[in-house]
Amino acid sequence: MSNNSKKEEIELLLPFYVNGSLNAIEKEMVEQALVDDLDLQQELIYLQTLHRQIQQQKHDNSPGELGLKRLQHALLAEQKTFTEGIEHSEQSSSINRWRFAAIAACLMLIVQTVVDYEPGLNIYTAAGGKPTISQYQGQVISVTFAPNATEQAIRRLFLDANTSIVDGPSALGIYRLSVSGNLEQVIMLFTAHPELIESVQRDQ
Amino acid sequence: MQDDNAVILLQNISAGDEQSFADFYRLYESRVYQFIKSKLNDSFEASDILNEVFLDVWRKADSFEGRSKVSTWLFGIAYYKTMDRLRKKKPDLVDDDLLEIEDDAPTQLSCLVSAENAGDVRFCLETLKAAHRAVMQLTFFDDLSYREIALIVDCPENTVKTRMFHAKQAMKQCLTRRMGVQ
Repeated sequence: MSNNSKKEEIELLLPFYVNGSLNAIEKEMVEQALVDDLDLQQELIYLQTLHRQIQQQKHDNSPGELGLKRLQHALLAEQKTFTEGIEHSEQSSSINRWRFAAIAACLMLIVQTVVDYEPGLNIYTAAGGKPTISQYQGQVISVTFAPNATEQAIRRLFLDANTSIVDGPSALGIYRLSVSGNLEQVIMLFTAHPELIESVQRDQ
Repeated sequence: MQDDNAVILLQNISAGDEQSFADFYRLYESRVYQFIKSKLNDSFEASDILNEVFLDVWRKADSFEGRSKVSTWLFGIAYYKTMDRLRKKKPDLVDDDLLEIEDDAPTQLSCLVSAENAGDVRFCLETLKAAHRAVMQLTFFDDLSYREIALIVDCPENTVKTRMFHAKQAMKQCLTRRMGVQ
């Protein structure tokens, strides 16, 4: 480092030497440079005077306790806004809950309507009540299905056998089927499919 | 010791302790206000910014990571808010690195040294650019190191040193002119 650049570096450090914030190495470096440099010594005196003057500056009164009150009001207002925000949010979520419940109820109604709707079915009920099994044409058998039987496979088997469900499933999983054709052939057909039909029983 | 106390206060503030917030405010309010005022020269605006700074302390106390002194962190918030206000108000004054001092004009150090006129010093301080005044204030009023100041004003340490150099040169010129006039 040349003498000039070293002096410039010392000059840059001098204000911080005056305020006492240099580390030990920097402080020693400055003090060594000051020993035989008159310019730096004059600069030091100027900076020390300036430092003292600035330290002695009469400062304006700060807001003090009034400023604290202002802050506390601001915080209170902020907290109030936050609380109101939560309440508003709760009200909104309550309204939203009712809205969702209403939508869900409507959807359930639509689903139920679709499920119950059967094209061509006479919606009028006979005055004598719903038809009993004995009123169905043909004979009736009871069957239980294999647990892994698919609806598609069962439907195909029913179509092949020309049968239709007239009751069930019961609590035990028993379906009652009306057989339009030959009962013995249907029973044979069903027993030939153990992967679909677990048991077949002729009803009395 | 003061910093240790301030760290504890900040921890309490982040937990929502309003008494600690009031204590923290009383600990630093005057210094932070003077620091802001030294750049704005407007006590009303300085009060507004002081309010904003301490609201930030309340909201962001948990963001203090202890990497610097509490005062450095706090003055950093104050510096940012003040410069932001100045940028909106007087953009030309915040051209931080534009140096208005070209050279070392002849100075009468002996005259300046004897210039114990606080009014002149105050006047000349107010003629400094905001960025230079900030560094001068932090160096000679708050006695901070250039490392701490660099963290506060968010610039390299060497920039702090050169800003301080140019600030004291500008003060020297201004005081010389004032002495010459009187």
